[in-house]
Amino acid sequence: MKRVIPCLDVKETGVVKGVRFEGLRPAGDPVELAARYDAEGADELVFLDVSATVEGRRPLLPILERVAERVFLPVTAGGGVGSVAAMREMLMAGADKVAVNSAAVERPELLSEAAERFGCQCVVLAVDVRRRPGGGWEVVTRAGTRPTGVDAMEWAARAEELGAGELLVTSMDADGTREGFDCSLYRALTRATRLPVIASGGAGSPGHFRDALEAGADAVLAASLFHEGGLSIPDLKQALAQWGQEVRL
Amino acid sequence: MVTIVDAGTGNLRSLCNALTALGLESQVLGEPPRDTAACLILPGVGAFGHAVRALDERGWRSYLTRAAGAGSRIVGICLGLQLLFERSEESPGAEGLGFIRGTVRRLDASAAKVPHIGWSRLRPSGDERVPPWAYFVHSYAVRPEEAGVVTAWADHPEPFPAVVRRENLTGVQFHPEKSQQPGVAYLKALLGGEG
Repeated sequence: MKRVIPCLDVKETGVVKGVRFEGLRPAGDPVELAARYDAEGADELVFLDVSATVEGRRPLLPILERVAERVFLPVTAGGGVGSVAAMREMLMAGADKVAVNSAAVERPELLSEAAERFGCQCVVLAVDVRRRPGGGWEVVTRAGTRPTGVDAMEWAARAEELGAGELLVTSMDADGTREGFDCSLYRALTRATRLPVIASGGAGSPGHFRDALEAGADAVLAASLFHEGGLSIPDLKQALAQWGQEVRL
Repeated sequence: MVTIVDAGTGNLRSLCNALTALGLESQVLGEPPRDTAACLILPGVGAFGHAVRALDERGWRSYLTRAAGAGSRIVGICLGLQLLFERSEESPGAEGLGFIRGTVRRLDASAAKVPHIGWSRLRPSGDERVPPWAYFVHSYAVRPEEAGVVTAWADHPEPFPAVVRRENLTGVQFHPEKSQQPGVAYLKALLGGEG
């Protein structure tokens, strides 16, 4: 069953959204948005603290606590997670899965430590990638500020061996543009790894979601398109079902 | 009062929140109480072997064995369901609680992606009144020796037991506390309206 996942990027206490990771603007109260997506039939929620790694803060925990009191949906939380202890904090605050990004690139053993402690199904590897001029994709860390030289397909395969249970792969080139997902990225990922892949970045219309799912993604994620009312989740799921995609209605 | 067994594997908050929303009182205990609780939840996220060790170290194994024998209602969720069985491929050598005969096996990666993360339809095999959909996050599934204990199956390329019942024991492979309102309501039914 394919999943539709709204993503709430949180900075300080509000939800924000930018374009290609920059120009962040306010997009609403995280708890209210979460409740709305629950009522609309979202399959999961993702909360990412987009300030944490860069600024060394952790404003997400109280938000997770409030969301978990109201919303009985699976929640993935991430942003600035650098240790097993920090993952446990997220889980205790109400997250079901924790996404790690920069810290895993810098210290890949974090994935195996986390899988050993919580089980691999709890460990989501978030990867932000940018197209290379010569082909392929490069992993970029620290909220899109630090190119790593690491090849995205090699990193995905390695992460699977280390114990990641799922991949959340964001195309920085497509992020916030509403011009469509980078489908060739997801086609390449299905060859590089057997892990479930959440496609992120570029959603602008129902057809974009269908394209990403047909390219091999197991779940599709969007932020501003949902927050700003450009597309409702029920309308999206109806459209996907009519195109023959298996979704929960 | 619902007693939640804390084996240190995290994520008890969602469960507590669900019970609170249902108007049920609950307590999370790291170690067994003196009296035999009438209603226990054995939750769990994490690895089978790690959880078994934690149950042993904290004195839960003997407590739960006594409680199961005394007729306490015990509800296992996800890994908690798997812990009711004898052993798991995830942690060879680790001894489960063994309340229900059978093993826990890894899902077949050639049938569908593993871990299985997401919503699946539930198919009751008898009069089990399950929600139509439930949310799963797991890589292993139980394989009971007696097929009769399975009261609902998950609709999946490789079908697996979603609900298992034996006398006062129930286990669910999905997360009722994460399956929106129908899941939370089902959890209340499993607990027998205990409050």
